[in-house]
Amino acid sequence: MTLYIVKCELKKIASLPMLWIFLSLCLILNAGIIEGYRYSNVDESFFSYVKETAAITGTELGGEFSERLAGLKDSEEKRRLYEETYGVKNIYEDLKVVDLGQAYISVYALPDRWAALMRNKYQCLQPMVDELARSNAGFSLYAAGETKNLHDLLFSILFRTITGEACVLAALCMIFLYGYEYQNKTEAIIYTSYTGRNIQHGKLAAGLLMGCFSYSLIAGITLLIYLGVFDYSWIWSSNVSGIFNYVEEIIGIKPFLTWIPFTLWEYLLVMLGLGLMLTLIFGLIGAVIGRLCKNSYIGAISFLLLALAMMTAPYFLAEKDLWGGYFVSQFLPVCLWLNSSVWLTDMGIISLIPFHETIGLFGNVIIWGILTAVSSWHFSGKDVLL
Amino acid sequence: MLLCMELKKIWKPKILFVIVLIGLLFGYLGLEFSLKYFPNGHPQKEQYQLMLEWTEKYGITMEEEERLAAEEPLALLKEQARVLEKRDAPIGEDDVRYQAEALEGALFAYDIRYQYYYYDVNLENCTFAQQKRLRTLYDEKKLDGLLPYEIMENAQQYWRWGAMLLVLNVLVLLAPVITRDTLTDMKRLQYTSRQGRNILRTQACAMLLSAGGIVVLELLVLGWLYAGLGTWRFWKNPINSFFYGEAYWFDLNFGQYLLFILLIMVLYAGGTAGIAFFISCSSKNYISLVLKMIPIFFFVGMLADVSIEGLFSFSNPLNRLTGIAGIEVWCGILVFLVGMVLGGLAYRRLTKMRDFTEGIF
Amino acid sequence: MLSVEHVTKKYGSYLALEDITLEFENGVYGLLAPNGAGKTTLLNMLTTLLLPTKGEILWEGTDIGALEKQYRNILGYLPQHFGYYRDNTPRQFLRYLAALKGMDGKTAAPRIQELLKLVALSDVADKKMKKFSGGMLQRVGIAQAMLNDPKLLILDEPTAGLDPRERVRFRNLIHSLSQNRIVILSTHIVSDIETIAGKIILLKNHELYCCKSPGELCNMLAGRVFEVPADRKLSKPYQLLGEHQTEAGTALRIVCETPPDGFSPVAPNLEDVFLYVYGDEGGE
Repeated sequence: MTLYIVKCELKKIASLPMLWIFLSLCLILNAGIIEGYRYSNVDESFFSYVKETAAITGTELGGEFSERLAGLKDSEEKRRLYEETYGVKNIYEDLKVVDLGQAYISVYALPDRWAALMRNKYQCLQPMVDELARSNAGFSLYAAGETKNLHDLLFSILFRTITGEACVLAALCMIFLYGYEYQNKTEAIIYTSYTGRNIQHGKLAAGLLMGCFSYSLIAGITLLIYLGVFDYSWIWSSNVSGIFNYVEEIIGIKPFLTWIPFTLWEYLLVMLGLGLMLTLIFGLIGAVIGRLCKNSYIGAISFLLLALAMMTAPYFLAEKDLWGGYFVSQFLPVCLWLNSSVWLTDMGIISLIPFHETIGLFGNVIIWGILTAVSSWHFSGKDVLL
Repeated sequence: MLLCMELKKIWKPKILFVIVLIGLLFGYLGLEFSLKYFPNGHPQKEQYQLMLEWTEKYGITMEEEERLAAEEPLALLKEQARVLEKRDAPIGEDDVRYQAEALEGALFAYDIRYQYYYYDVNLENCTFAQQKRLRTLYDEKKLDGLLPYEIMENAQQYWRWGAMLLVLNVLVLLAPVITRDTLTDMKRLQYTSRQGRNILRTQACAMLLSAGGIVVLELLVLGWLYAGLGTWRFWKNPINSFFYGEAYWFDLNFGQYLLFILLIMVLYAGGTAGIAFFISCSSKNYISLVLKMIPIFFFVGMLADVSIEGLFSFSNPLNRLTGIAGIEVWCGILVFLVGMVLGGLAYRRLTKMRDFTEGIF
Repeated sequence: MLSVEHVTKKYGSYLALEDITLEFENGVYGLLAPNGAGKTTLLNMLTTLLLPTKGEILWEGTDIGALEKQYRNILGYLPQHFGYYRDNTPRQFLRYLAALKGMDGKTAAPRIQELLKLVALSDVADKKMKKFSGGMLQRVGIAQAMLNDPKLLILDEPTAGLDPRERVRFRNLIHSLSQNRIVILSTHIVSDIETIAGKIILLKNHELYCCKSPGELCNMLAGRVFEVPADRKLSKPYQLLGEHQTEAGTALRIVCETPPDGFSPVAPNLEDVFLYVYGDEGGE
């Protein structure tokens, strides 16, 4: 398979004007989300104040922080910051996360078998919590009272939107490529050439590259816009498990508990990497669908149905008390995407194991990779009916 | 005859099967909750039951004298509830404590209905028009209606999802129609036949009729499911109810309100059909078509969603943005007109074009 | 050498071809049969698009399925419905196909230039193909089939849609290309292969009818083809091949076992054989 063939396949997708229009629309949407959220949810003046103040007070809460803050000029923002940060305790010091596990078990009435696994998960998390207590991670300032808003905007809303857009594009580009020869009636001359049906390897490579490119472009530009609006230069080293970052759930409010300690910068990088992986998985899904459906429209609709089915599965299984199926369904690509705001954390009722999303993503790469290979192998021995 | 054939091309068994599947999955995600958990929780269930009883007893509104009669059971209920509390009895499904809470809450809501703070709307943040409307409601005593809180929220939630599903179904069904003919090179045969480019008119008609068909089908199915909730018993009750802390621009009853929701859905479906015709004419391959369908679904679907959310109330997002009473319907009309204009534009361009192999742009 | 050994193809319960056995060596083979006889099915199997239900196809003694790329490397194919990328120029399209045929840029460029000259498309090498006529597109198709200098060239209805001048040009081209390769030409335009084919393959009722030279085929009808005026009543059974206008009026061309009174046989041509083999029975 020559690079030239991959290049030609890339050209096929790149010559779709609608692809670039769609990418632009995605970026406009993302910019709109940032602007809309900034307008309605974020207290920008307070955020700016915290940034300016952090240069004097430092970014670790405690007695010294409060003292330095007290010495600053009085203002509404200062009062708010003082109120939020005065007398904060180390939230991880006496935190027994097994209680969280028990809370989930009670609220959802988990059967014994699954309850044991849930308890076990939180037992595995306890050493991490102890480490957070030791390292005073809870005293990380982050963005003070605006932390939750900004963290949710970046990781719950924007990240999910970016990955969603890239995943859809990756799948559709792949379906397009696989149906290209059928649409242009060039199957006969392409498949009878020296490369023959092996051209699908070139299509796969091109589709995955396009997926990577789409993700990089959307994520890159969106983050540029975001960081242009919100200056993060001073908080990259904040711990994402700080006191101001939390998760609101049915059991109440709990800290943002990651399996290993992350600074904001590290967390963002890892999330971006995992997001790229998810995009590639959707590219592979597109490859399988594209291989099975010559007609691209049927392929696209099949993708929609598959996505809807994946979305529905956990709700349906939970309703029927099929907890085994429920926990397995949370590894489905669409479910991983839906829960991306809590990746790298304990993930509550969604998972029974540490690093659920990482294992899920790698597992999906393998499974969909195998399915792609199988469908490709099947196609190699199949009649091409013109 | 030709129209029938074009309709047959659209209504293929495979695509109908897909639409049913989409309906089932989408419905499960969005509609099932509204159907299954209505009324949702306590004391909402009891309050719903109470409103039903009061409607049967007192009609669609409750007068002061009737309010006195309605209070009679409260003392006994409260006593029974106290006894149960003392005994620390577990709360059952038809627990009298819920009934007491519901009755007390309803009477309280009735008593304070003409007081400003009853409404979530902060008068200082009201526009002049909104203040005028509130004054009208107060002065003309239009807040005596009996309509439970749950019904309006449930209806909006249910039909919002229904509207998005309808937009999606119209797009999935109609968008590939012209594109298919382009890809299979049928245009060559169509344009050189006696019909010539008039075939586009037939196809556009077929698409509009099909949109109508899918609207009727979907409204029948969703309506039949919704009717199972029994909310039709409040059909004549005014939406301006003491029991719902929401101010509405218009004096409608619940039945009329639902009809307006359906009208909005029909307008959005029609507009989507026109837009579907436009994108179908302008797409030379299916993936281009799908990449156009996605933002259209999100935009039109979102518009339909925010139109029905708090329809005709002060809290409707479109109304909050514009301050215009009834903006939701105007928005629907606008989408409908945009769809018709775009469809007309595509039709005109295609029929006038000399080189049929070129696109409409 | 290409050999087809007892090949059968079924689509479910429908029998497309049954027990076909053929051998091909360098030269031009005409595959002549009406629509639905199995021509395209046979060609699709020779080009690896379809797999035989029974039997095997061998190239130099090895199954083409086992050879895979090696076989496709010596194959050049022009399908009946030639698809192309409308926004490509012939040069771009051929470059892409050259890459698919395993040719690197350095080898492909001069080869493309040579082929474009051969098919008389040098002037439009850099013009988008969506503006091309049917004949020009067919020539691009022939050029792409020849890119890898194939030892086996398969052309399915290559002259469909070409004007008489183009068809003559095409015949000459094929004749010149046939020196050192196997050329299989599928058509139902008899004149295309009459003068250039060394052997004609006839398929009938999904089976091989015969594989003979044009001369041998024509000899099948030697002494049995007559031309009689249309108004002449014939007493003996005959098979009508066709009608045509002469100066004396309409004449019928017929095949008759015994000569009609007063008429001498005319020299049979390939079209007569085609019509005789595939035509209906005659009347009195």
